[in-house]
Amino acid sequence: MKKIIALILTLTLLLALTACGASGSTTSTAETTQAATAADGKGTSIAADGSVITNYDKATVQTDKELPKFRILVLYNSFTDKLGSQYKSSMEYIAEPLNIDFTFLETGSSGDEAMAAIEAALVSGYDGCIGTVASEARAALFDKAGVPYVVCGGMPSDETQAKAMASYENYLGSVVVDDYAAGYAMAEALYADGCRNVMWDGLSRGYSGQHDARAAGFADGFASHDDMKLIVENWDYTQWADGIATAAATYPELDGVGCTCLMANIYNTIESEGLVGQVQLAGIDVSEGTGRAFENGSLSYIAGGNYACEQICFAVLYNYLLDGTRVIADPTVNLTLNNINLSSLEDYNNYIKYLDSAVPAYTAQEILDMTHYVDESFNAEKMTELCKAYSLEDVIARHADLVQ
Amino acid sequence: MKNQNKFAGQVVGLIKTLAIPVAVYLLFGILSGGRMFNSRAMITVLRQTIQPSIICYALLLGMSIGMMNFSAGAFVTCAAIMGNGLSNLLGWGLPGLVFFAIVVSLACSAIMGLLYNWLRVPCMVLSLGLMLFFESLPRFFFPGGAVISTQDAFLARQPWCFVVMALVMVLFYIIYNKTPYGHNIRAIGANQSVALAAGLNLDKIKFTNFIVGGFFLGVAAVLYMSAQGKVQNVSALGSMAVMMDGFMGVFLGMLLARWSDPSIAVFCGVLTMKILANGFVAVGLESTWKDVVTGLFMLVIMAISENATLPAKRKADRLFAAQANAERAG
Repeated sequence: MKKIIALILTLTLLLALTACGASGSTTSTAETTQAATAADGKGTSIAADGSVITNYDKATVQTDKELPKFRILVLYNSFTDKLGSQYKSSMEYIAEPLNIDFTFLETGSSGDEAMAAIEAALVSGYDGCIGTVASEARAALFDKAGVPYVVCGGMPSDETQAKAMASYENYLGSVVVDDYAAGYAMAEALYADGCRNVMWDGLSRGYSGQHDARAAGFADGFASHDDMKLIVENWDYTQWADGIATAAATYPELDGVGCTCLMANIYNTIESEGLVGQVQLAGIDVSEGTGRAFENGSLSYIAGGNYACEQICFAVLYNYLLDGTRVIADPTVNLTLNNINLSSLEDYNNYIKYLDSAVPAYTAQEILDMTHYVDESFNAEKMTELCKAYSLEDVIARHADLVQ
Repeated sequence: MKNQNKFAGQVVGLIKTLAIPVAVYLLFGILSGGRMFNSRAMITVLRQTIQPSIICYALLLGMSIGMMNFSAGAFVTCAAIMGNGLSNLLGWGLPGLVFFAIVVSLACSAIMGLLYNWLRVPCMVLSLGLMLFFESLPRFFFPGGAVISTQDAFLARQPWCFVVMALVMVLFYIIYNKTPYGHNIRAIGANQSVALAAGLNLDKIKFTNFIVGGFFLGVAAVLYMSAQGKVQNVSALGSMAVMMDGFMGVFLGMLLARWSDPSIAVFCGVLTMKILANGFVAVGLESTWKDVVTGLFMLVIMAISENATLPAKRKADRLFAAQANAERAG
């Protein structure tokens, strides 16, 4: 018996290593990178002389002076999920032209573990840090280390915490997407598609300020229509797909679902339960299945492009590192970035083309344009306006000549 | 006559087994204003019960002989990601997923079984350590997780999921009741010392136990991959969420197994937990309350289970005391 098992083990290992050897790359928990050009196979072609041409090779900046080198620590739970990989690739894109050494540190979901990993990393010496956790402990940690810290996609839980964090000199502020507006837009999109008996499928209350903001926006959205009713709510940690299946089975009149996070299994559930054409979806986070959902008409609206938050955070940090400019005037007030709103298959295809390809939401030059290097008058007010201008149309207009 | 009595006993046992899930269903059906009293709701609950039940079978095999395996969820995610990834690389589609998921799960189980026999560490401790290892393993080969195409994901949909469940249930019944292995684990579960004295090779049986459990976890991984569409790598005990439904159901299943075969009892245990979860959505209560009620429900059930023989024992003690006093007085 043990010989058979040993044989199976050996064959499995051989197969796995052989099959994966060419494609897999070891992901370490801390990774330093400088490369950023579009060397990922997207838009590459071979010239007649054999040289490799990248159609998207615009990862350069125009500047008459050498940019200083900075070492930036980037923190996230895991850089292998969709959002994490987008955070990472958007930073990698600008690393070389802006002369930045990024270190990507996965902190997991455990607070103690994360703090230990960050403390260990800070020993190496960094000029700045972008993280996703807004807590006084983190602000204090980075302040003690003398490392400027900006928060991406996270916000202080309340005003008291916001003030406490702002009291630390090295806390630069927090950049978040407009979750409330996304939630409101979800309700409006469902209403526009004729949904009158809707469901909210979201994260348990209190877990996350962003998710609570989405729920609040959705609630205000449907409340603004007298003939739209919230007939069922599911507040859960992860069982959103099952919640929709159950709601559809027990509430036959259900015709729309607002979901805080549209994962792939939710699209699967809509199809497997035979709800296409019966229940419309609206939600957040573009994922596998989004295009298919737009094609079969089951998706009314989705908000995406959140990863641009990371680039804006970098711009905030970069401004400070260059000459001490603070483009978040009041760290107790979050800098809010618009969502990318998608309502059709055309929108989705444009999103993939302009925001999920080799060129991220902001190029290195565009980020440099947000600093006194290029614009002496750039300030917090201009940064706020720039964030409010962020949209699919904005990105298309800026990158029409970059993406083919 | 004897066969008739046996059949009648089995029917009564089945009725007792079904009593709890039916009672919970009736309760939430009434609380939801009758909304759960429709075939679609029932089929939805049954469908959602399948994958956790298969995980539960694997857990039950271990717990029958006192081995609690917290890494079952990690086996499922590891097998799902690596199985689907390998299948996609080779272009084998669903057959590839089934093959590689089961092979990977068997490999994980074999590693655990070998380590268990070699290190002599309690299974609970070993499983906690290996859970972290097997959660991380797929990340080296498939850092982006695994995605399955819609046409290959039909096993998680009806009627195929019910076909799979029926086959797995029959297989579990045969393994648990009709094989020497099943006989041996029941013997060890009843009294390990006696089983050892009878000459059973505990190391071999426990290793086999891991392998058989690994097969069921591999099947669960196929259904998990099919239902999710995309499975991402997890870390820091994130795989516990995958097995938690089954984990809660196994305790209830062990109680219900007093009245019917474990293959049915386990399914009914998980079904009860799923009715509970779905009932909260139907009634409109938050998952926080669901978690509180589920925990209390389990406490009550286990308290009843563990103390079920207490009244009879006390009665017997009183009778014995009365007899002893009478003899003494006489």
